[in-house]
Amino acid sequence: MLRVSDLASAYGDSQVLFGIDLSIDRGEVVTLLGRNGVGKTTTIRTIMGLVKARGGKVDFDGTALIGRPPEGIARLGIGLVPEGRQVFPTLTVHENLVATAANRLKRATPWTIDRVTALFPRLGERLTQSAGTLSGGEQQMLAIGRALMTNPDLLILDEATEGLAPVIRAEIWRCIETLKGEGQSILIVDKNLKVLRRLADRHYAIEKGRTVWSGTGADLDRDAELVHRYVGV
Amino acid sequence: MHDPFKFSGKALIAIAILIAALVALPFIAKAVGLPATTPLATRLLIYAIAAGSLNLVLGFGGMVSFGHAAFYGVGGYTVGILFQHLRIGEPLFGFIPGTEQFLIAVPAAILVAGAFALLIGALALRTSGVQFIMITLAFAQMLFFLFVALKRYGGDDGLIIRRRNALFDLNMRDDMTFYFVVLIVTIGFYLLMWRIAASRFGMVLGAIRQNERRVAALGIAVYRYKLAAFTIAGMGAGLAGGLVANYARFVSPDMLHWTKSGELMVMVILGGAGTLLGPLFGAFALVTLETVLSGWTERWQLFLGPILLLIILYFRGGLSGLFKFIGGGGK
Repeated sequence: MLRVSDLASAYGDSQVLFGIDLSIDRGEVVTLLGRNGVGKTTTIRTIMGLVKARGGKVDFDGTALIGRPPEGIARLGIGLVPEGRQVFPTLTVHENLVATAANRLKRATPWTIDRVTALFPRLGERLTQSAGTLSGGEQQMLAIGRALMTNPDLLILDEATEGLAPVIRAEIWRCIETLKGEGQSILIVDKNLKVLRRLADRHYAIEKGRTVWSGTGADLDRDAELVHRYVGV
Repeated sequence: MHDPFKFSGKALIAIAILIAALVALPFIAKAVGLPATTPLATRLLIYAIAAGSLNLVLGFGGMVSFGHAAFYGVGGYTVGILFQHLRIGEPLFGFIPGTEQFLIAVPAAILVAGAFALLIGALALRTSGVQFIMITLAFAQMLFFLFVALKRYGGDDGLIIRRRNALFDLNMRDDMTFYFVVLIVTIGFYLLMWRIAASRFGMVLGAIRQNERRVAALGIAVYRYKLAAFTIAGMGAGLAGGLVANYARFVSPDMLHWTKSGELMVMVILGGAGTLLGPLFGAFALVTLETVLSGWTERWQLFLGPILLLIILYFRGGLSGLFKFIGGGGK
């Protein structure tokens, strides 16, 4: 559904991406691995149109994404859970969920507040609270719920477990697993190889703005040493 | 389902007291022999509408529009020009007959101001930050000079409206009657603002204020939401302008001057930007301070400045923050 080939982009004069290749098929869970600063977040921001591409192609279900505004890309069915959560702090949890909610692809069973709170019971207890008062983990859950409420075909999670307590991480991984079970296509940026090995279908490693390795879980086991070097853990 | 904008019991009582006080005001003014209070209160309410409309863009949407007086003035001139054409018995542009009907002239003021806001917003909202401030200011000044140059409608001297618009069989000349007309309109306006703030549109607007790109990345066409808010705000200012033209029976280019835009901004910030009733408090506070201070000294602005500074420095939510502080027993 998503095909990225030879993607390049830059912040001002400093080029960050030099040649990113990756693809995700419907129902797949795919990871983007790499150390800090190699261009994982930039890749996602470029796919979303938040950073201007300098070259290459991004194709989503046959539609070219480069040159489209971020809202146009999101409307095609990509839901972003940005790095650092970025909820709307002065809105309540409920408002965060419904403000941008939509079912543009006309799903038969769209996401609802009830479904999101079933997935994240903690959010259900805090619907009237302003999002700024939530803990980091709860904000992360809210950011995921907010993206789900747009009923995306592809969910992109950028460092969804970064800086969270282990017990909260486990809860988020469990939810991602549930989503996978429901057939949700997901692109994950994370460093937790152990969990990702079990959860994801395929993996891409990035270094210095280029895709340098890709493979399945079995390939990951075989090239474990190499990939560990790319990820730096 | 809970309603995120449901008022707490305490807030509802406070609002009921506020409305009761506003209803009782002209009777009390008459009883204690201060009949001039009623027209002053009328002016306060009209400013509260103008500031409330600016609050939609400035407070809720985070767009610092520095040309809001333009729509206020356009609304006023719409009422004035329609009356002028009735008086001289010659249709405007050859086909729009003049009118002195409140129910035609004031809605016309709203629509014309809204049309200007749509046009100016469509261009200005392509920019943001300081550029947006300067562009809205520039458009407002252009309209200001347009009305200065329109000799036909009084130019610099403004346009006198011989009598207030007619509404049913009411005696609109009577200050108390006119006060109640304005009060009803004000209550209606604030009810509408409340519904807007509580709607999904209002939530998205709040989200846009916090981070535009984040909202765009969730599939919302930010520009359209901002333009809609800007246009509604322009319509609100047009309403206030149409009312003030009736109130003063006079319109002049001063209504569109940038200092008027600044005054409206001060009201919003003083009262608490992004709060529902903030602009109302802000308008009351500013006009009351002006009236009281200017009664004491000619250099009243020297005293107004520090007072504004203190409120803005120490109460981040403006007067609304102050009231909440008092109401909550301080925290």
